[in-house]
Formats: sequence, structure tokens, C-alpha cells
Amino acid sequence: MSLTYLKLRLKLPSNNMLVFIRTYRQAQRSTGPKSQEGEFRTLQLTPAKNNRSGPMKKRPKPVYKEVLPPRYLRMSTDQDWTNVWPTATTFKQSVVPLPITQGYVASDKENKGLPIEKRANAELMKIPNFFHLTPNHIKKHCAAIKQYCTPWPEEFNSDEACEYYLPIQITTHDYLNSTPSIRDTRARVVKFNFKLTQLEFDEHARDKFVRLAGPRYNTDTDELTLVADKCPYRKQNYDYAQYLLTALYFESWKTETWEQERTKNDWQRYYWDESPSRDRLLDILKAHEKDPSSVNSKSLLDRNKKLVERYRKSISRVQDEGVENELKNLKDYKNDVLMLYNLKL
Amino acid sequence: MLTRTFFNQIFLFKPSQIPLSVLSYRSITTAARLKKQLNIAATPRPHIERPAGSDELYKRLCVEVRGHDPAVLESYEKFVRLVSTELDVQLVNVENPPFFTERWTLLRSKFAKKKYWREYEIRTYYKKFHFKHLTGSTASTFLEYAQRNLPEGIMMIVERVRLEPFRDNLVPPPSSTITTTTTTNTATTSEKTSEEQRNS
Repeated sequence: MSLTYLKLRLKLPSNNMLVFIRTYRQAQRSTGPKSQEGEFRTLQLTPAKNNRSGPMKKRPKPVYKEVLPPRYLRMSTDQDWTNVWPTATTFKQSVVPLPITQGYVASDKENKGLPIEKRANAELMKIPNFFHLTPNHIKKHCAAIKQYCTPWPEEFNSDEACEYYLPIQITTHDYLNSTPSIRDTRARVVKFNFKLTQLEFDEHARDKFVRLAGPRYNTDTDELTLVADKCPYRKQNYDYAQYLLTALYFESWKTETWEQERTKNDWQRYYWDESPSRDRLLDILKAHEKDPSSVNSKSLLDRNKKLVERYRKSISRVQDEGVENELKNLKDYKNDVLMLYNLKL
Repeated sequence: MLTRTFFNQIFLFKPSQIPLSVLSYRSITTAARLKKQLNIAATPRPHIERPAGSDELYKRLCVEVRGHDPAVLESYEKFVRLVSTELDVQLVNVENPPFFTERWTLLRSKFAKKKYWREYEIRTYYKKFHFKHLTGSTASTFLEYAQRNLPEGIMMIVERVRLEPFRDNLVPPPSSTITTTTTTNTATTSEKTSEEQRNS
């Protein structure tokens, strides 16, 4: 670092040789006379009074030059704005050809009661502007990046087609903050969603699947939701969810030995074939027969096939269907029972 | 109402999944719901080939922007609308959830002066853009452009819903013994329930 004066000299090709000089001072080393050997050198942080060179310099008065008129006065109305303001930048009042004002004037004393102009308006500089995203800008940009877009395949235009061919919906989130770090732990969560009708089941497998899923299964929409957030990375959570799905599916097809111990309280729907109602019906039908001992249940059922079928259907409907058709179901049941006893209304 | 049978204990029944045990109003509706659950459709899985490196398919894309200045969000909305028309991206709708205010009432002075307080508040404004039916490359292109031109102080949350087929191994196992409902009548059924069954 040597002795430096940085000068900014703006010379105009005009008659006025008015020059505004900005000086940047830096610490000066002493340039006093070199000491001889053996002499004790004193510390001189500033030039000593004795070592002044020349007469005292007067501080030059700052002389201001005439500044050029703002650029917007020389803009044509049909210019290409995309070239004037290509990227996002702070508001430059000399470049924007609009009479923008910003600020509230409380009384006639402030700014002579006039609205505050854009020149040297800090508030206008603070806020984000969209001068770099005018419609012309967007058209240019999109024309350039359009080649990287691909069209949506027409086969998947309907929801049903999507469900049939691509049944799983995987939901992920991305977070964009203006923080020092680009990470967000919430982005690791992966959610799987699909309808159970898209998977192949038999009755037992489906029932077991639903019981294993528990609260993850929504009866009304027939959807299973698996949310994986155990692992720190999204890919790991995705793999875990796939594993869960596979495990659930294949577990539901297995039958454990203790599942045979299912009681009537565990039935998920009314199984008439195992119910005491069937025994009762057989007893009644047996009683009708002339020779009770010679008849077994199978032949009884075969003989009164129609009646049995009707009775079975109506009682199953009463047990299963609930309040919606309750009245109708009970009526049907009543009629079938009466038919059974050959009683007519 | 829930009988502690071995079967039930294994699966840790929820009350809503308890099957018919007492002929009560509630149990009929649960039975009805359960019957609906067992409505099985045997759809044979179509075989979809997805070679490595193929484009992803996004059923839905939801871009939520949050900021403190509603005017900036409005300008950003105009920008996003224009971009979606230029890039042929289906913008379904733009949602404006209500803003959220955080308020504090703090003392105005550093020391004492308990009579004088000041109210502060910070508002977060929200805007949600809902898109549908985008391919992976379109989504990447659009999102990168939108994110590069996101104004200062605005936060963005992108929710993607990707479509995928089941993996090929999810077919019924060939060695599975297809169980039928057990025909053995358990002797543990109480007389009361059987009586109710007969009376029903």
C-alpha cells in the first residue's frame, strides 16, 4: 500500500471545466528524511509539522458538474422494453419512463403538498418490481424454454383412465424459503394413495387387508393412505412405503391357523350358512316332512330351494344393509317367513 | 360390546369396525358399512411398461406462495397466468386462502410505564395455484422458471401428486389357500344372541 489518492475525474467536452473530484484517502506512510544508521527513528503516524512539503494546500471546494438529463426522456414510445430492463434489478428512476409516485403527504407543509416523486424515492427502491416480467418478456422467455416441455398423453385425460392404469398417487412437497439453508425436513414426507378396487383380492384377503390397515383406510372413498416420514430422505421414505404396501398385500393373502377360531362376534358380514338361523330353518323344514329321520339337511335344502334362497336373501339383507332400506327389508322378510309357514296375508 | 376373542385381539378392533353382535341401531349401520367394504372388484391389472428415464406424470400440482405484501402476490399471479398460457400448462384455479395474522401486545417503554403498550402484527398472505395434468419435464421447466422469478421475501411450497402403477409383483400369490368362511358353528354363541337372531 503506497501513498495513493484515488481520483475520479469526469471531464466534459464542454467549455466548463468544472470537475467533481471524489478523493479516497488512505493512510500515509511517513516520507520523512531517511534516518542515518544508529539514529533512533521516532514514530511518525502523521507528517510532522517540520516536514511539510510546499505551502498548505487548501481543501478544494466540491464543485458539482451538470448531470445529464435522465435516460427516459430520450426513449421512444415503441422501443423494445425487454432490452431496456432485461433482468430483475432495483428500481432506477432515470430509466423508467413512467411518472410514478410513492408516499403519503400528510399536509401542505410536506413536499409543498405535492405527491412524492420517484426521484431519490427510497420506498420505490425497497419494494420488488416486475419490470423484468412484462408480457413481452414472458413471451420471449417461454418461446425459448418451450422446447423442454412435453405434452400430456391423451390416454390419461380422464380420471378413470388414470385410476385404472396408474392407480397409485404419490404426494410429495418441496419448500422454497429465503433462508440461508435450502434444506427443509418437511420435504422428506411421502404419501401413497390408491383405491383398493385396483388390487386383486378375494373376500378374506380384502377383509384382512382392511383390518390390517386400520385408520389408514377410508371406507367412504375406498382409499388407502400410507404416509411415510420415518426416514431422513425422500427416496428412503418412498422405498419404505412401497415395502409397506407389498407387505400389507401379501400378509392379507396369508391365513393364519388362529383365524379358524373366528366366532360369530367377529363376522364382518352376516354369514347365513354358519348362523343358527339356518339350523332353525332346517328344523322347520324337517318338521314339515312326513318321515323326519330319513331326511338329511342337504336333500331338505334341495327340495325347498326357492324358499330357502328367498329366506336367506331377505334375512341377510336385514342383517347387513342397515337403516337405509330397513323398512323394506323387514317387510320382505316378513313375507318370506309367512310364505314359509304357508300363511297368506 | 366388543368381545375379547382371540381373533379380535390380534387385529385391535376399532369400535367402528365391530361387526354385528347386538341388534342395535349402531351395529346395523356398521354392518352395512362393512358389507360395502367387502365389495370386491376383480380388476385384472393392466401391464404398463415404464422404461427407465421415462417422463413422470403429475396428476396435480399445487403451488402455494406466501408473502407479507398482497400486491406482490397479485403481480406474481398475473405472471403465473401468462406463463401457464404460454407454456400450455392447465391452470385449474387460483385460490386465495385468508391471511394469517400474528399479533403481539408489548410494552412501549424499556422500563416500567406499564400503562403504555404497543400493538404489533405480522401478516402472511397466501395464494394457491392449482394445475393439473403435467408431465415431468413440463413441470420441471415451468417450476424452474417460476421459481427463478420469485420475488424477494416470498415463500413457495410445491405439492406434487405423481401417478404410478403398482409394481408387477403385486398379484395374488399362486400358493395361497383361498379360505372360505368356516362352516363350523361355534358353541360359544350365547343363547341370548341366538334368541335375538331368531326373533329378528
